[in-house]
Amino acid sequence: MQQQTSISDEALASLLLQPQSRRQGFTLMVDTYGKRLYGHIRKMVLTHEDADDVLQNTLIKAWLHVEKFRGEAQLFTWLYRIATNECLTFMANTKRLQNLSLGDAGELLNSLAAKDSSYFNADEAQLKLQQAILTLPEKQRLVFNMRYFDELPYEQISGMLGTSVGALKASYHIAAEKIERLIIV
Amino acid sequence: MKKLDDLSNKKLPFSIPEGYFENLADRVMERVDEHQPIREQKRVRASSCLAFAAGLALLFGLSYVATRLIGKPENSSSAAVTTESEYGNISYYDLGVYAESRLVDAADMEQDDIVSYLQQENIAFLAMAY
Repeated sequence: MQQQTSISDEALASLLLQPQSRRQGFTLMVDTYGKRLYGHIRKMVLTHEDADDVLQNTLIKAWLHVEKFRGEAQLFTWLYRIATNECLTFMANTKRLQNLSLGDAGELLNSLAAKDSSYFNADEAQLKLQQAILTLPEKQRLVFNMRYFDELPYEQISGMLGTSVGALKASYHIAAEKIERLIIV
Repeated sequence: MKKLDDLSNKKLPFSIPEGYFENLADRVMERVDEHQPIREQKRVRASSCLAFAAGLALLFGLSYVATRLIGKPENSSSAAVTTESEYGNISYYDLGVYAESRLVDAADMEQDDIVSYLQQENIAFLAMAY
């Protein structure tokens, strides 16, 4: 998936790193990457309310630490890394998203569909897939989502998660095999 | 991953409230601004604690230097020492007791205060052998 940005990362970074243009740069950064960051977070935390909280925390951290961004990574890679850390922190504090059996995952998704039907509406195949994804350990779930849905190259995921490409490939392979076993019954 | 691709078509079941991304940056900035004073207060509180700790450290440092400069008693184990040498042999323990009992800012303490307190409390000055 190619990034569709109306402003280059270099121009955004330049605006963000200068105090007098920082707010303008921040607004442009949110306009450019907000949706993709939201999508990344939502896949992990499931509900819109939680995704909203985690996304706002991500953007606040980005604002507070923007001076640490020195252009050694792409801006989006840096943001994705913050968002991923925020997701993992949120999930570590949220029991309902941890160590789920297939049955637990099914119950969680059914309750989500009943409570939040306007923002979660899955057909049978999507429900089965999401159910299977929820049974994966958190980091495998992350890798699977980033590769399967976001179609990010392994090299980019490696920069975001600080994991080697080889380990990511192995992780994705294991995750995909497990999911296929669960959804093809 | 042909089976996965065939099954789901990669469509996600999540939707977003309409207009959610409008003014998202402004909402985030509002939250940043709300938190700013709290961070300031924390910094002020932290610096007060640091000032107290620094004052206490300075007091102990000065008393150490003073004890070294005034000199050791000839017989460090003797309890029968002059008043002057007693001042020079106030131990860290005595100073600690004094500071704890007064519960005052360490920067307010004077050597005379300490000595008069120790005399008043009849605390035996310990001759410290360095």
